[in-house]
Amino acid sequence: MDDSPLLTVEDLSTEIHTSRGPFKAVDGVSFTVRPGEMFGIVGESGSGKSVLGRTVMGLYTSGPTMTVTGKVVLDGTDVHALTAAGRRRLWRSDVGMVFQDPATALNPVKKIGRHLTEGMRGLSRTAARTRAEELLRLVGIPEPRRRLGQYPHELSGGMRQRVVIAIALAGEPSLLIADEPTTALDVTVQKQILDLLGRLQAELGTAIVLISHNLAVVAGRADRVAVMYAGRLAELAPAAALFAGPRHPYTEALLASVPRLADPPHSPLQAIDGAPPDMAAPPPGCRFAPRCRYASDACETSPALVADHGHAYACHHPVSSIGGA
Amino acid sequence: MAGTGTTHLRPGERVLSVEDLVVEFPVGRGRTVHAVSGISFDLLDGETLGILGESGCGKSSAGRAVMQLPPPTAGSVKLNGTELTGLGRSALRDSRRKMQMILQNPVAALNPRRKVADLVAEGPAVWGGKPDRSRIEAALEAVGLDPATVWDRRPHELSGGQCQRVCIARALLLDPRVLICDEPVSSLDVSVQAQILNLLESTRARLGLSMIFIAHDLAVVKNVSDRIMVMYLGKICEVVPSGALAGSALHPYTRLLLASVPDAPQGDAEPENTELPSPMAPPTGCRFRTRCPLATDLCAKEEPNLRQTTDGHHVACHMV
Repeated sequence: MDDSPLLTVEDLSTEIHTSRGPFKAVDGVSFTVRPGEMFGIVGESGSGKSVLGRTVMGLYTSGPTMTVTGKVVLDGTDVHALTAAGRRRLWRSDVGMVFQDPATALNPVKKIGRHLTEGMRGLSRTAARTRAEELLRLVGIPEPRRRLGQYPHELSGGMRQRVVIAIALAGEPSLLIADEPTTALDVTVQKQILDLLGRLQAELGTAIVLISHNLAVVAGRADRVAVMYAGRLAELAPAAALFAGPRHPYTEALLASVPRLADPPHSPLQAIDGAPPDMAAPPPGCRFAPRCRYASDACETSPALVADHGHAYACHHPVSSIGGA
Repeated sequence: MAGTGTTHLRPGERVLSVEDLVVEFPVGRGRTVHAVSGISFDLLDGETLGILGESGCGKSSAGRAVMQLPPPTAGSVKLNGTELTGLGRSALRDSRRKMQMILQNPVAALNPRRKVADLVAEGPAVWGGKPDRSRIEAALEAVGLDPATVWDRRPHELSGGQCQRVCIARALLLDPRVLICDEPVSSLDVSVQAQILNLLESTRARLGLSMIFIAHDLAVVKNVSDRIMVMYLGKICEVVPSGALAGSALHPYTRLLLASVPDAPQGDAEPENTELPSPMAPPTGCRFRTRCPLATDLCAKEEPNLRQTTDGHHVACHMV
């Protein structure tokens, strides 16, 4: 695999202006995604993971409601230096997005065929339809020709999400951003959609940024995983290392709080006390400190994200890889 | 009624016993949605029954039918020996008080215009007499809320987890015997989910409650339940002691659910047909046969009955 990054995000911040004053939904986030890589972003609601995805995509740009600082470079193009027309060109060919709710991502009064072909340029009508059929076959939809003439409501949730993925793939993007692609789906369907994303990554070499609140969704599929907390990266590491030996106390606590099928019934869960901070008035220093069992005076200054053999974490009291702080 | 069978019901003293429960909804033009089609289950004192299934399997309809919300189309629901179906309005209200529900969306379950103290006091107030301040404070403290902080707040000033705590406090103030939890943690964040599950578990143990816990997440259901009932398209597939769920589940649908847990090993052959059949025209025989890798002609002709395999483990399948 080529080691030069496909996507470089540098010190990215997204400040949202609200009636209660501005707050940074994303605060100084940096990471890279390699070509063909599955990159997972995990965080709870309000952690800024979706805002990050949309800012990387260029859907959120500086304007009256928000200020974006920092850099997003996709394949040599600075996404936030582009004009609106330039960004549309980018969306057509270089980057695709899959949203959480496939029911609202599709227009209910447009047929599936129209959804797929409307972004295609320079193709005759029949060529576009053939291409649309190919795309539906690629995402595992049976009877693609018949589906082209159907409306979204005639498809199940899982099939609709496949259509949304097919639309995102229409321009043969090098990067796919999937924001909670399986959250609205049933467990059996969720597995199929995740398997499909994995297959597309392997077969087409598409890099995928998989955003989820569910650690299990990301575990075992992502090559590397970033954990977000209150707008910042808490930890960034290869998936196996992160799940086997988390260094950030938040990641450790998050993994311990999930019930596991292997545990006996009625095992007490190790809940994280408290709630994520109010982003309009975040705590000074480390944002996890008020909920952290290792917190000390040192945590009043923000820890930097430091890398230790490719395993980066932002913590003054990292959990040791052998266990315990 | 042919179909799901009753071998899993236990003799003797039971808090709740439900037999041949049928829930159907008319959807116009003479069509009917068969949400729950003749299921039976029971609940012992202090026991937690988990109901597991995907959307559309009838798990929520079953829970609501127990509450008589709305009353089931057919079947019997007995709470401490009292038949609830067919009771008159006031008699039903009296009995139903012993059952309380915790719902999926705690924010929507609370009146946005009322303050926490009034929300929690609402139940007893309906039954005549607002509870005194100390009782409400105790109820809030019991669910881990600081009464002084939340007393005058309205739901929008609370987080989702805090709203769920308010809902639990409100339910407990009526001193129920059975708590019906319908996806109580699925709208909550992972770190908050554990807090609420621990709270439900400790509350159940402290007050000796019986609980019906409805959810789609296998690990969550396994964590809180003593016994798990797996539902598919309005029928029971399997009833299994929760400790045996991961290791000894037999029904092909339960096994599909287990294989679909996101961190389960990849690469299993995908089932041919992944679409849920319409609940308006469910398949004949076994309802899972259209997606089942083991299905034969027998499965289309004859509906499998629940039968016992080992102690406390019952499965409705011709092929296992």
